[in-house]
Amino acid sequence: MIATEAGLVGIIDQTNLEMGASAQEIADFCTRSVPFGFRALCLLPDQVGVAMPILRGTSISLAACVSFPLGLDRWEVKAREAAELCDLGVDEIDMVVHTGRAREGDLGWVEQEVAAVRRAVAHPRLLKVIIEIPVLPADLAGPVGLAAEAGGADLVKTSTGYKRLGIRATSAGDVRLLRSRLSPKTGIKAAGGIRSLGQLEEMVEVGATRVGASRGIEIVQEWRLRRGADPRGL
Amino acid sequence: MTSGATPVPLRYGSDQVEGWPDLVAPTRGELGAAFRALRRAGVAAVAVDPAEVALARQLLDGFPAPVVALISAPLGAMTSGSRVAQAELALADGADELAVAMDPSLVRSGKLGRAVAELSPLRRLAAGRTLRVICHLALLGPDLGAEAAAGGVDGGADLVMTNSHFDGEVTVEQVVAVRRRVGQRIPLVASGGVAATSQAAQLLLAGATRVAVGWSGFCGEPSP
Repeated sequence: MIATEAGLVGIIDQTNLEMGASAQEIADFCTRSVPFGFRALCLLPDQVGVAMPILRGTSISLAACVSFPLGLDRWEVKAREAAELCDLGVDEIDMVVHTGRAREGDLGWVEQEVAAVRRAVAHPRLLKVIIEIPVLPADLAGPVGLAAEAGGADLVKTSTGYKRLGIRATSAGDVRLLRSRLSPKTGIKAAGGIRSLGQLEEMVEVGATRVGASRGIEIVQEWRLRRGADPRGL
Repeated sequence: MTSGATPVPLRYGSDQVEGWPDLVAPTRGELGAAFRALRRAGVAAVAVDPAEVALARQLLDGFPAPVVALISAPLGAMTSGSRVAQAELALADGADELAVAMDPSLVRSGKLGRAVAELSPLRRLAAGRTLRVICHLALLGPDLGAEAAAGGVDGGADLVMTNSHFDGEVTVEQVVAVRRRVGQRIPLVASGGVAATSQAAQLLLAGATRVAVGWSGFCGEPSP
């Protein structure tokens, strides 16, 4: 069980990847999210310019997705997009691996493309690599995660969580598997269908160090209610 | 993404049907199977994700359908430089045409002019080739989507596609709205969730030049 609100918000990537969201909708999302002090806000690349001035002066990192949600780009394009986003001031990159090559078990491909993006995302910026476990054969989730780690991922992320793909939600088993295979230095971001405090805590218990959620505010409010506090933080 | 459960026995071999990627995370083996089915069906064009252009070229193996590289699709949310890089590489890999997803966020934010301006470098890159614009009508609605289509044509597009594969289903209303706005001269591909012959026939009757049907509709293989 997560003991403090700081401990909770410090692992949440509050996420809005809604296709076609207007600048005003994203600005409202950012403005609503800032008082909660999330670890990061995670957005699509074309919304970075909207979020940047709202997050300036806060402790919240800005994360942007690369090759989202299919990952079906050449590595040069992924690296270019990551470099452009870093130039714009993004703190963290969430890249999607080539999901087709990952399903084939072409681990060299995955490692090479992650390494190419890593070169464009210099530390202290963080590189999270989405390996889309829900579409992978069960025996490949571990090896693909290891290939992402070998390429230079700071965190391996379970899934895009993109509902239009029609894939299953991330499971605690996905996280447990990655935790058992990856180095302790590599973080694990659980994402995809995590909509409640209970689900989030289950992910953390089995090894997630970061959680992506579009309902981060509701999850924090649920935590406050459980503690008997005003959900508005008053 | 479609389930792929309903093959679409259209007038294959005519010039009215295109293939459209709807498989989630296809392997090279699955792409090979899909392309064999597309060739058997005699499709008029094949749209592919940009990483697979070179492979698509090989798999067509002389079959005369153009390879259409999807750019900034399905979301239309890429950074400007990476979109151009994606197009350059797709052309170098052998793409015959580019299909560019306009940025729907810009359009919904009242910045259609900026969304259109983003087409300019791609128009230059694709000089002498067909530049398509994907207009997200299911997401934007028929009126705003048709505005986007008209903007795309003003920005140099040669052909309008109604939707990316994540927007939702194309409707007769969308086709009529685009035709009303851009006239009869511009080719119009009805794309987005076409899964039945009767639906395709209605879209063609309403003014679509072609319909785009998901690969799974040709090979009958469900998405993984």
